[in-house]
Amino acid sequence: MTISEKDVRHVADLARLRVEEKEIEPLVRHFEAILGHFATLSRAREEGRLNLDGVDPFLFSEREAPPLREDEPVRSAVRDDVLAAAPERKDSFFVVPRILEEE
Amino acid sequence: MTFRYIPVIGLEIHVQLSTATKIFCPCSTDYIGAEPNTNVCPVCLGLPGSLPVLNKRAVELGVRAGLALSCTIRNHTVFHRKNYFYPDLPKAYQISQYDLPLAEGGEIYIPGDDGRPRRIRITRLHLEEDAGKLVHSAADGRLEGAAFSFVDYNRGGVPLAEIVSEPDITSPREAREYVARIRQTVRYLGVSDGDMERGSLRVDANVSVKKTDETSGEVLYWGERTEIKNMNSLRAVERALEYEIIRQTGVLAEGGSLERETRHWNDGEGITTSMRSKEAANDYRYFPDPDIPPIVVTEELLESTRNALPELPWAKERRFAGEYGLPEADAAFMAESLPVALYFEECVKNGAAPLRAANWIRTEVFRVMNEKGLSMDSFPVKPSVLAELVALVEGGKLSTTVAREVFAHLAEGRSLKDALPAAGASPGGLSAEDVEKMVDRVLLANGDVVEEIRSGRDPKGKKIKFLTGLVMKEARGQADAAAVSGILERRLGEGR
Amino acid sequence: MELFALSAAEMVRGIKAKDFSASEVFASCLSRIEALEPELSALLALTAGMGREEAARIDGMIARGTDPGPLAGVPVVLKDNMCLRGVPATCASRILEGWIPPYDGKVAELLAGAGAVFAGKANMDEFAMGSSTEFSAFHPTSNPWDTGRVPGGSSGGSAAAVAAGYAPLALGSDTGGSIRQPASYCGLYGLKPTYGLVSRWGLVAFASSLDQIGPFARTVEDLALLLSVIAAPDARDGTCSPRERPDYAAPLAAASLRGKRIAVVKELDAMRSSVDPEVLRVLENTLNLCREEGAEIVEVSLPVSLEFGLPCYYILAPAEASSNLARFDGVRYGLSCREDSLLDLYLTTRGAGFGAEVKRRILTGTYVLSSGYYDAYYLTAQKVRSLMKAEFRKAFGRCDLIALPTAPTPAFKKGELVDDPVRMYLADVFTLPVNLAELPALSLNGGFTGGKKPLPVGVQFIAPQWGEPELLNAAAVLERRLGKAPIAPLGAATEGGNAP
Repeated sequence: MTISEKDVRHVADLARLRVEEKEIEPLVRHFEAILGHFATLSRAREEGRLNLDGVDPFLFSEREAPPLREDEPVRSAVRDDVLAAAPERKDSFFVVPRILEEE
Repeated sequence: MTFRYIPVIGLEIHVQLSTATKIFCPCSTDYIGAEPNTNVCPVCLGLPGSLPVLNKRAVELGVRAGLALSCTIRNHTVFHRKNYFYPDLPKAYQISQYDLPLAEGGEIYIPGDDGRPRRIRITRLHLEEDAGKLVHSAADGRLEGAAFSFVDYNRGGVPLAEIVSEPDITSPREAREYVARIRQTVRYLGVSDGDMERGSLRVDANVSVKKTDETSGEVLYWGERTEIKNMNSLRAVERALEYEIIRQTGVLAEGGSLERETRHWNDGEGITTSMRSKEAANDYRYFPDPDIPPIVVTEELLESTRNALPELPWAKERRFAGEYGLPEADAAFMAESLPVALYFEECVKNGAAPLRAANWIRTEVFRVMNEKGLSMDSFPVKPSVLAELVALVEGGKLSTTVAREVFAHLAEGRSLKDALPAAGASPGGLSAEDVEKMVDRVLLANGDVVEEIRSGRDPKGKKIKFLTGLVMKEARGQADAAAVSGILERRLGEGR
Repeated sequence: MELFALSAAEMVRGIKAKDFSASEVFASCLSRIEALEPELSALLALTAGMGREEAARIDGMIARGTDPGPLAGVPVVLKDNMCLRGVPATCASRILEGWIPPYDGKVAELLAGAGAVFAGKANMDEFAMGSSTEFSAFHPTSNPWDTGRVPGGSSGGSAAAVAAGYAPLALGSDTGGSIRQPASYCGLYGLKPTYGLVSRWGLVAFASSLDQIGPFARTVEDLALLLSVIAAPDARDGTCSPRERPDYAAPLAAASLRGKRIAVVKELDAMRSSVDPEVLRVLENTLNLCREEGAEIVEVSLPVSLEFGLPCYYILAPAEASSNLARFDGVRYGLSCREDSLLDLYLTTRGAGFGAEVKRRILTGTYVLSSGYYDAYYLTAQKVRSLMKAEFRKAFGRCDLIALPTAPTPAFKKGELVDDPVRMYLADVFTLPVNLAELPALSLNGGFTGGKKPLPVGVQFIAPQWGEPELLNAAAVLERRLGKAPIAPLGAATEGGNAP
């Protein structure tokens, strides 16, 4: 599994995480370790010890789910607390740096 | 070689569903005019520890719309997370649907450019949550401080159905017809108010142009498509596409190339401008939302929804034309919206002649509605009353002119009993007997004319008209001319 | 015996009998906390004022003859990733420093309704990502049995608090072993319920399909008591089962393990070299006790779970986490590093707010979900998860419970693994298959290591879905042989339990 610094930078971009230059290299190694570990799966598949053919991915369990919510409004009481603690607020708006175009 | 440039258009329509609460939390959806950030809770603010629970009604409305658009409804449907950062998206992911949408593979018919019905295929209909609203500091000083944007989450989490068409649309006019048809349908179904100006129906268009050989029809080049946003009316959809097709054709004709991009329709200037290119495309990292178990759409829900579907506009149009003999245009007009259709049918049920009722609704009812800014539901003249009025005219007891006057009084809120004398007509109009008596009197006093008509000396019907006029004069306008001439013809025929 | 050293059940009985008051119990716990906290650093917030008021309210109810509920006056510690209205919930992260939840989580509601008194919020690995509580952004927590060692994690603060006698009960959350492994390191009972038994409403999500809240206690009776309170349906969590919950006190009466089949796992043999011999010895010993109590010991095979569970977990949990932690963007709450552009607001806030381990997991998760990699990583891991689920189902056709070590080693030294995250991940190898398969499992203290500073060693029992009564049954029988979990010998002399 080869991971490049560019991969790490790209992913950090997607995740909106500022990663310092000195953090990049250790992250590359970390990625390689984790994904390398995962590569044991491919080896096991090649060796015939693991067969994933026709296996449904386990996306959800077959548990009984609670019934869907009825369409009845409930007013939440959190609003004032949330606005009062907002990092920056103008009247009852949250404030962010001006967005000139879609970023 | 001569070239032909053919536009290829597909539309994505976002429809706000008419639920009382948001799609994943019990906050009210009534955000228009609400103070910012009032209809919010831990879920739609994306507070840590909050969890979404799907609104049953949103699923029902989605199923209803899907069935009306002839889609196949999936019995297990799944919500995915679409991950991207934007301040109007409080969780930094939108809960939407990806490869297992609620409904797929539908169709709808629109009047094509050649006048024949055109089938537009519906790729899919899926449910998702709306984003909040960003208010950019305005020049008017209301939100001064040009360095900031302001976020309101009242709209965040309002349920949307996204309806995606196949690229089957070939002209801006068809695009407009398609949007109008979808809007009409969702309104009929009570699924959405479909108000484009208020944003409860939003249209994004994907448009490309292909360059073909005029004679062989061979596609020589297919330009990249652009996505157009911010079209807030049917007219805007048509204009934006007209502009964009001309722009793209121009680029291709000059040998240029197009890039895949999103463009913004500027309605004031009548142009589209580039917003962002696909280079910077987001990688949305879709994956099934582990907080929301797959939704099971039961056979019972499908069955009950199917049974409860109202007669759809196109079916109504056909029936109005067939059952009531309305001309195509009138049938379409009467079926345009459900309230009008119901009003019309109620009139007919109360004894009004269909064609005459349709005429009255199209002209008088709509004139008064427009003048007074009323809706069909709040219209003061009940369909049963209009039916009575129409019957009076039809029975020859009231002339159209006087009936219009009576109608004006009715529209003021008066009862028919008060409106008739107010318009100078006798209460209840003239009875059939009264009219017969008047006809008798006129025939008696004009024996010579009667003789001429009976001996066939009235080839152009002038003399009958003369007699009709005399009766009308005697009736002081309260009789209906067509009805009177009908009686005259019958009576003149009898004596032959 | 001082009041803090009582079990929760003893406290409830004493308070209801008016032998002592809830306020006295709370004061006793508070002085215990004040005495030991400088040494242990198990808490991130102490709710002394709130607790005193609540204890006084409970005493008032008792005086008026009103039943305050099954946890009347019992001090309880919550892990800091659970929302308690008005009390900061930081998840041990700078990005949530100072954030005060404006609402109660479901478990907080249930606890308050049962008469519990909140004593504080416990330290943890940041956003529950870790196995040592060293990844707390604020401070590490010490193991009460040896303060030079970690208490385990991520619910290390909760475990240390109960082991030190801060409170008889605490709640933790378990995504890959975060209740069971610290329970093992601190010598406690810790239970990870079946996925969907306890509502996650108000639990700050790490990996939504794996997270589950569960109890820590020093007695099986207390464990069952707390489980009975928190195991309730909740319409606000779509993954919380609406099924009726059984009576968790009933299985405590079991006389023996006669008729029970308890399975050892075949694959453990091949892994012996990577498991501490003391851990194997304690497991062996516990299985012998089971046999003596009438259980039949059988063998099952879990090859996929033990070989591939770990790599799958470290794909799936980060994938979900990368999305769950995206909401911390500095716009609505928590840390916000104000910058001139939106992009910088995001980058700086998130860059400064998250610690190294959280960043690693967010980045890994983002990577495995990104375009072109989803099938190879996420989907493949989910397929393996399917196989694991099926493998457990098959195993439970042949046994009632499966026994495994809770962790491969006893508590490790502080700083020992902090720079080698991937090695630290191995601490979860026996616990995380249970989360992936959505099963319930319990860790109990099976014994201690030898040496000058004996360390507790846990044994894990795994049951089929909704098999919590089966786990409590076995734990209750074994408790009679092994004794209750002791309070760690720290500070003032303590008595009771099976201190080595």
